[in-house]
Amino acid sequence: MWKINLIYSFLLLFNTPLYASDYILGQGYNLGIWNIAGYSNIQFKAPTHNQSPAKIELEHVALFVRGQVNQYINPFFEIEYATQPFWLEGQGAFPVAGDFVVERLYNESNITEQFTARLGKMLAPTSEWNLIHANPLVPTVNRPLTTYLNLSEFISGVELQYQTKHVWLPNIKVYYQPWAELLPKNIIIRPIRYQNVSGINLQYGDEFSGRIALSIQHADLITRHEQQTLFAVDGQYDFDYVQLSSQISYTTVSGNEITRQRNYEAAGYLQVVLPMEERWNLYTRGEAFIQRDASSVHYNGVFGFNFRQQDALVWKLEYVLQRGSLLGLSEGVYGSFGVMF
Amino acid sequence: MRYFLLSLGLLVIPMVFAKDKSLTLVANTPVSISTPLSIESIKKIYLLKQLNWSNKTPIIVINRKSTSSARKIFEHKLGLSSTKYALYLKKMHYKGMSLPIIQESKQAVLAFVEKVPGSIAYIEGEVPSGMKNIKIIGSLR
Repeated sequence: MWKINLIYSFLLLFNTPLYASDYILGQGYNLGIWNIAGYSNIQFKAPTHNQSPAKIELEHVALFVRGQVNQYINPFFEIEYATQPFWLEGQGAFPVAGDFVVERLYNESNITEQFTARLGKMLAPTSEWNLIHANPLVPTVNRPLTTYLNLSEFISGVELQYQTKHVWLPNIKVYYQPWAELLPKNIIIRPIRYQNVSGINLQYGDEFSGRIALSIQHADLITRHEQQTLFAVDGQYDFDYVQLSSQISYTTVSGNEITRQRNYEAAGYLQVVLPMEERWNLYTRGEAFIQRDASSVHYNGVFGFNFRQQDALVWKLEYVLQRGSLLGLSEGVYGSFGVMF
Repeated sequence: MRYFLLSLGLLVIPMVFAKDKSLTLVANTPVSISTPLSIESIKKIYLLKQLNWSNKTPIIVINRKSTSSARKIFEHKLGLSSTKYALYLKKMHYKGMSLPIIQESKQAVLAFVEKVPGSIAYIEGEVPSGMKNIKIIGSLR
C-alpha cells in the first residue's frame, strides 16, 4: 500500500493545475502543485568611513519554490545568487562573481492542524527578522546586527511547530540540528559555523495585534573552540501613526578561544517607523552590540525613508551613523530597490 | 470655494459609501459549518491562521486584486489596512505559506467557488441562482 502511495505522490509532482490564476507581481507563478516565486534587490553602498569602496551590487536574486503534494509531502526550496557587484569603486564593472547559496531546502508535514514538522535546511526562528529577512519585506536597507551576528541563522535538521488556538498560549517552535549546516554560505560571508544546534521560540500575537517572542538557541561553534547559548526577546507594536519594533539578546559563551575578551555578548535595537502616507515611511533605528572579541561597544544609528511603489516594489534610502567597534556595518549612505516576483 | 467644496464632496462621498457596501461570504464547503461565520473566523482564514475545514480538507482562499473595490471594502470590514495586509501576505508567502488565489472579477470568483470544493470567497451583492455548490456562509455589513 505504501508503494502505491509513494508512486501516487511522485505522479502528483507532475500534476496539471486543478485551477489557474493570472500572474500577479509578488504572488509567484502557479504551475500545477508548484508555486514559483522570488525576490531581488539591488543596493547602492557609499561608506564614508573605514576606506571601504562605494559599490552598486545585486545583493540577492532569490528563487523559492513550494510544492503541495499531500498532507505529508510539501517540499520547499530556495536558492539565491548573492553579492554580485555591478560596479566597484576603483575596480570598475563586474570585478568579481557572486555566490550561489542554498537558503532553504526542506519538506513540511502537516501532522495535525496544529502540529507541523519540517525536515531539512531552514531559517532558525531566532527572531521575526531572521524569518522574513528578504529586502522587500523589511523596512530598512541594512539589517540590525542583533538579528544575525554570531548566531546560527539556519538549521539543518528537524523543527516541530505548534500553532495555538488559544490566545493565552504561545505558538511554539522547537528545533534540533545534530550535525554541521547543510550547504553553508561562503566562509568569507559567514566566518562562524555551528553544529549541535538546538532551540525554542515562543511567540504571542501577530503584527496586527502586536507580537512578542522569546527565543533560546544553544550551539557549538565549529570554527572556534566555543559553545554559546543565546536568549533573545523581539517584538513589535503598531500604533497606526508609529510602528515600534525591538530586539534584545544576551549570549553566554564558554570554551577556550584565545581571541575572546569576555564570556558574553549583548545586543539590542529599537526601530521606529513613521508612516507619512499610504506608501511612504520615515524610519530610524538605534543599535548597540557588545561583541565577545571587541574591545569597545559597537553603536549604529539609521535614518532613512522607504517608498513602496507597489505592494511588491520598494525603494529605500538611508544614512548609517556608526561609532565604536566596526562589526561589518560602516557609516555611509545606502540605497536599495527591491522586488518580490 | 463653493465649487471646490462641491467637487471635494463628490469625490469623498462615493468613497465613504463604497466602504458601507455589504459583502456576501460564499464557500464550496465539504462540511457543514455553523453560519454565519464570525468576523474572527473570517479573519483567521484570510490571515492564513486557519488552513483546514473541520474535516481536515484544505481551505482554498480566494481574494481579489489589492486594487479592487471589493477587496478594499473587505479589508475595511475586517479592520485591516490594505498595505499592511498586502505586506503581511508576502511575509507569510516567504515563510512558506500558500497565498490566497486572486480572481479578477465577481463572475470569476463565483465560477471558481462553484467548481472547486473547499474554496471560500467574498462577493459584492447577491449570488445568482443556479449555482448549486455555492453556500452563503455569512455577510459583512
